[in-house]
Amino acid sequence: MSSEEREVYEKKILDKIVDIILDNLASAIDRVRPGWKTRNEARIEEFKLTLYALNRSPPGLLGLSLVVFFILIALIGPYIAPFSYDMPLVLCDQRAYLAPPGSTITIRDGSLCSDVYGIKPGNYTLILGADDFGRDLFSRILYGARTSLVVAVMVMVLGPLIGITLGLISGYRGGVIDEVIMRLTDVFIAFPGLILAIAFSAVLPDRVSGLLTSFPPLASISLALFSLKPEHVGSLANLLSVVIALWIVWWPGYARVVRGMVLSTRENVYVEAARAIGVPTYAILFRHILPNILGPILVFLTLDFGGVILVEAGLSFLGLGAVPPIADWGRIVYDGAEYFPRAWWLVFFPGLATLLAVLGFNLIGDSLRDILDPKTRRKIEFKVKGRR
Amino acid sequence: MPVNEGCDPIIEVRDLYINFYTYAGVVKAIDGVSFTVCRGETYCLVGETGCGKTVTSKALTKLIQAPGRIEKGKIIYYPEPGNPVDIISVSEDEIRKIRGKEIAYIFQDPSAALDPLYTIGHHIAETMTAHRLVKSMKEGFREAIKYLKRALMPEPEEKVKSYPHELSGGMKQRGVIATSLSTKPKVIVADEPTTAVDVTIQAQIMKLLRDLKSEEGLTLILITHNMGLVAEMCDRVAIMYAGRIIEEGLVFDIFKNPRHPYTRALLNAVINPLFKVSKLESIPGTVPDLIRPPRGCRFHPRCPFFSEVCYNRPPNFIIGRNHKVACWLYRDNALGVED
Amino acid sequence: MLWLADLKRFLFRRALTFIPTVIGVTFLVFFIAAVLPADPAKLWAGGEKANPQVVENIRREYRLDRPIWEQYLFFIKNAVTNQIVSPVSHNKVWEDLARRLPVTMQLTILAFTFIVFIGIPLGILSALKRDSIIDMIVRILALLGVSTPVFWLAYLLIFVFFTRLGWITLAGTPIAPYTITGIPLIDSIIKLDLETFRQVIERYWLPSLVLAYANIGVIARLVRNSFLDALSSDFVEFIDARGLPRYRKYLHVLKNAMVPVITVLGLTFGGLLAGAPITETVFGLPGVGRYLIDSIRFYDYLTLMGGVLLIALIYVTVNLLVDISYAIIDPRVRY
Repeated sequence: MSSEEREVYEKKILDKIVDIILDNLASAIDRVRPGWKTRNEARIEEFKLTLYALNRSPPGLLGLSLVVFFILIALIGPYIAPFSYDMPLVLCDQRAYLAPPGSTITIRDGSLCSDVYGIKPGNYTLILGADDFGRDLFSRILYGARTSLVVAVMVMVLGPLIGITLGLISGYRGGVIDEVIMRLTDVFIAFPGLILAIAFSAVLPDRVSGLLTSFPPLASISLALFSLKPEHVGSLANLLSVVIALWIVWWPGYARVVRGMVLSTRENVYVEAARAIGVPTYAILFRHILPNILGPILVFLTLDFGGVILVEAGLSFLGLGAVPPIADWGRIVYDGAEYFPRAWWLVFFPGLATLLAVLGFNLIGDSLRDILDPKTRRKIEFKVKGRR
Repeated sequence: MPVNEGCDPIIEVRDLYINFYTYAGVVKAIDGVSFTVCRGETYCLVGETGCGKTVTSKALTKLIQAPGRIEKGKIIYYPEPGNPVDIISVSEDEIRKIRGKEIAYIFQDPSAALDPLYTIGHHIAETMTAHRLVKSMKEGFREAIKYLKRALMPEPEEKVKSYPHELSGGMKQRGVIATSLSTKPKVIVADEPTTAVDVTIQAQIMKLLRDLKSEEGLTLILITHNMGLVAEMCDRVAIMYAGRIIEEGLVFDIFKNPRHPYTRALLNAVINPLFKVSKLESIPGTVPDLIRPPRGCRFHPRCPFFSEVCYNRPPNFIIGRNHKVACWLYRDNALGVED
Repeated sequence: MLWLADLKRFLFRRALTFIPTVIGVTFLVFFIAAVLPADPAKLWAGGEKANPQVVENIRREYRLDRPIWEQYLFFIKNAVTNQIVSPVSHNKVWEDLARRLPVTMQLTILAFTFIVFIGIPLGILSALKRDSIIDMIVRILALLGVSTPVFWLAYLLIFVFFTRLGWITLAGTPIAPYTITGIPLIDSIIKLDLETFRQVIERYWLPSLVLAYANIGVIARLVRNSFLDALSSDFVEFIDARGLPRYRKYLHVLKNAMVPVITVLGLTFGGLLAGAPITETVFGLPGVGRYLIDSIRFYDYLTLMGGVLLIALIYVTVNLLVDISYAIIDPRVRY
């Protein structure tokens, strides 16, 4: 048996950062709910251990860097991009038409671009080239990151939430509710994912348009989130339709998985004990069952984040979703495909960006899965604690 | 090696050392174990969970797999008297012929032993076919029914086509026994054969093993932590603690005269069927960490008779016919020392 | 054999869930239509400048002025009797789709073959050579596979094999001079027609490979983990203790390992169907997937619904077959 003393192990820089963040967070929560910190001390330690383990896994760290980089670009991209996402530079310098990566264009003083669009006159290098409107690909990819991230966040916030909630209810309650929800998921799962998403993305825009005009605040918020100019509000409908379509497609998976996990956790004696004492249902669900299934769910969420980005790119590649001039990686490829392979950069760079973003999430998810899997966990634990 | 006259050795184990290489460190699981099993007897290995009895039993047919490794020692098997087979150095093909055919196993959990995708009849037929005891699987199935009958499986003609999940625990165990019997082995190693089944079934299974042993002239090696079972079934017993045999002798001697402090404590902790005990006591402390085991005698941290000399490993002192004990308390009264 | 009776019982119960699912599927497809743009009739008639009389006719013909449940029944009745006519193409929807189905089927079947015959052996190899270079490569392959956008990979490979090497074409699709199943790939195998078979492979190998790419790695990893799990199962110890030869041990392990893999293979087929639209679009294959996308462009919602329904039905049938295979292998499921 292992000894009772506390293991003090070597901590790396990132470990210490994790410690600072989590400790402060815990103290903050403790101030709101006194005693929370001491009650959950073991859980916090476990969580820290998971993050330390992630810190010691090279693929995990690579994934983390990619994801952080992606989020960073998505957030500040619109502010650091040399040009706006819809800036047709071909109006200022004809050389911008399908300009290959590295081409230079000149904005002349007193031209359309400098007076009306407010671009400082001078020479500019189009790092990644431009499309048939002379729109700078580099800028569009930066903006595209924002589009992908916002769509992914919107989908991942609601979709899994619906699924997990229904899964919890279905698994715990059983009976008729369970049957109904399961039949429902059966029907949704009968469709290969993308197909249903295609169908809904195709038919929803009209309705969503109507929704946007009836609720202007919705439109303004969306414009701000996607960093779009007000005149492009018409293109929002397609984008939001994709979000809604993905909500519809994404929830059944989580419902099924969570239900399965609830079914196995429910059989545990401590649940029975809690019921015997008279703990109300929602408390059992949230305080006993949910924390135990959180681990695998976290892995799914991470992997799915990448999945949504991939599917969204696929949908816009097919012409659904983002409509020009909105910058969306998949859409750039769709528009640029007709010039392939002459203007190969229009396909190559957006695709590469998608690949790297999704790869980041998959790397983290993969590492997390290894860390949380009881079979591989021991090995990793000892790597962290350094015992030999 | 002083053994009882009239003992025809069928398995000899000498100075066996087995290590497990884990992420936590090297576990010195078996640390110099020596014993001899006589042909036709029922030999028991007894001890707490984790003392190494299962590992020892698996070593008998070289079933130790990574991260475990047999470091050194000798295991000799005598299919007939005077015909030694060195288990450790023999080839893969050779050992496979011995496994199942000469030395058969009955594992603790019958559910774990059977492949859920195949019928019990298939298991038996497969084993017989692999050892060339039958010419085809079809013939094997016919023979399987016979062995199921011998293992007292109810409705053997029906059950032979059943899958493991369709059988109860007791039936599964009978199925496993039938599988082991089908090769007509000379030795059966039963590892806690009754732990996973009901108490009522336990008695039946043990009676079955006893009957089979006398009918077939088998040698039975029984692994258990159940002292009551030991009293009922065994001729000789070896008590293991933390990877070593600390006492060995005839069952009656051990129960009547337990010498080693651990054996005494063990017998005081359970209801002794041979002698009345007024109070059950538990043994203070816990089983030692085998990565950093105690120096010398591995029991000394928990021993009420500890003294300085215990920091050295005690040899096996012979204190009676067939009774040896590894404890410094008997240094002076010993009849001899085992090498 | 005794298990046939078990199996029949299982099939019966499985069919009981199959039917409500199919009905549910039609509901969902119809629900898609219910969300449709407010006035499809006008779109179909030609847009803003449509003749109001024409719009009125269309509305009546497609029962768009009727209550929703009547519309549903109209839709189902016509679907079952092959009477659905697309207001845009003026063809029968089923016939249009049926003409394009063989292309999609060849694409997905060939892709599935790649997955099974490349993925599974790779997985077993990774398991046997655990933690070796091969294992690492398979891991990386799986990771890249699920991260790579299909369209990106497709264009990349088109650049290599079409632009640079000229090994493949991006137009047309081979047809067989005879029809047995209607799928040239299968027909040519049945008739041992090497020439047609070669043509089919020549046209489809790259698209199928691209479609399969994401899944090969995933299946390989799954097989690897499943194999290793089965290898460390308790019954393997007993197999060793019984002295069975090594190939017998691996047979047991393999069969046990295949159990979870089969279910995933069913899901994988769904993934292949889902990836068909993109793959067909890039490689210029006139399949159902691409037709779906094209029909959206022309507001041909009926074809869209028909196509979605068709794909869903295929997928549901495949899953049924998968479940049956599962029950054949694993006797525990048959209750």
